[in-house]
Amino acid sequence: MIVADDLYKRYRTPTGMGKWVLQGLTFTIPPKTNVGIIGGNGAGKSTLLHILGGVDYPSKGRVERNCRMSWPMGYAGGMQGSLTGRQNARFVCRLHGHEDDIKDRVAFIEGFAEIGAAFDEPVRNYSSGMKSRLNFAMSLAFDFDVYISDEVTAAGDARMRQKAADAFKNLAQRSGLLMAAHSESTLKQFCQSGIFLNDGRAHWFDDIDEALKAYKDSIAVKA
Amino acid sequence: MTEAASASDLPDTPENPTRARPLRSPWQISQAVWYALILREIQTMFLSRRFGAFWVLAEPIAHISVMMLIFSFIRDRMIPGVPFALWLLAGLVPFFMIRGIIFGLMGAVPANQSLFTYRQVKPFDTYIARCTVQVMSNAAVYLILGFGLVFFFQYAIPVYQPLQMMVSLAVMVFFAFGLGVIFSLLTHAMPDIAPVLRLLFFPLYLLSGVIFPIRWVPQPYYDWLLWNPFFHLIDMFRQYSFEQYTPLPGVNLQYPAQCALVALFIAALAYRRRQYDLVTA
Repeated sequence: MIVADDLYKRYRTPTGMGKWVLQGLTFTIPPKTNVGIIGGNGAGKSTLLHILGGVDYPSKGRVERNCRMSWPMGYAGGMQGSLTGRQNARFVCRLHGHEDDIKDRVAFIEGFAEIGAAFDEPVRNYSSGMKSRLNFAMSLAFDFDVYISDEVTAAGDARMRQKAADAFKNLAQRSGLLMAAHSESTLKQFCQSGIFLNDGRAHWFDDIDEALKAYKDSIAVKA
Repeated sequence: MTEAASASDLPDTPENPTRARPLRSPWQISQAVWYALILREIQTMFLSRRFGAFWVLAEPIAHISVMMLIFSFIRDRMIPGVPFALWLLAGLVPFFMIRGIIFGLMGAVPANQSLFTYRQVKPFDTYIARCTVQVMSNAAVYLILGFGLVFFFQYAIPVYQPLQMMVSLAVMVFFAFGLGVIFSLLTHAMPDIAPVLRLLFFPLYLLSGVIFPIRWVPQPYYDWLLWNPFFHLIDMFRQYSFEQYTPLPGVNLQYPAQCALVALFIAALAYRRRQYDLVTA
């Protein structure tokens, strides 16, 4: 269960404090719920995901998460360029308290990423596709209660996309999911509920279709 | 899609008992993070250049050996009762450790920026990791060189008051840690001042009595040098190392310990105010 209590967020800019990106968001996401976060560009989708994931911090308010939560998947960071894929994988295993079964986890990551011998080469030599494969494989290797995904399924070639989508479906069934995406079909495929972000405020919809409808209506009003 | 690696092969299936791991306590998480970061620091240190593992120890050892060679031949017997090579060793290694911790912490946040993607990793953890690695590598250098000198040149073992030595080392580490955190926050806010802060350490190298004995500095300049807490620290470490060492007037451990407390207090205060800015680049 994730509780957001009166979240406010604004960023520091070179000319002082920026405008409020999020203004007073309060909601509770029940366990095992797949939630899509919808909103136009700059509406604060990534900001909200990062705050819920504990990677960024609200300017005011707080987040309570009584569950294991993944890091934002599909996020470019998270890997040390000078270390090999294997060393990065081992690092992440240690971080998540899996020193005891590190072999199994790393074997799984190596198998799922399918980057062959490159697994033992420094990550800085990877193509962006290889990086995202490794990143995706790493986040699948742990048993999180909630996965956070920022446009993740778009990574890799056709075969990898298919594989990632299958893995994702599997995930969506057994864990909770928080995802930000623009693609309507992706959202409908994975999510039941939706949060629609508009003008720094969040609107909760039990049904993702209604959230998408509200989003479309808001565009229609502006146009 | 191959069957060899599909999502159904996840190490944790619902049937697998490891699935029901309890949530970790904050302390357990911190320990895991420190352990992972320390190993990562050592790996990047080793990989940063060819034969990195060799150079981590060989570089300071070579530097110190050359210094000891030059200065022992030119100015032997300048320190009453103490072999000059050992005297130099007991100043150089602590100073390099202090400098290593401070410079290491200054670079800790940018070097680990990509790892803040993981909620568990905080800037403070990277400070802890870098500090630990510095202490370990300098301790190794000290032990190797000290053993070499004692074994091959038949010097007396440079340990007089081991507990006090540990205490003075601890003060050094805490002081360097506090300064390192402050410098890290300063350079994060104003990247331009990093080279200035680095330059500060050259005069400090000379003013702390690391290679030139301050014993011969006349008044009133001697009293001015007493303002430098590093001078106190390094001389106290020597005093605890050598039985025959004549203590310098006015040198004590209280003053640097007070400096360390003040530095740690400012560091904690500034870190608390700035911690979220560090993470979000």
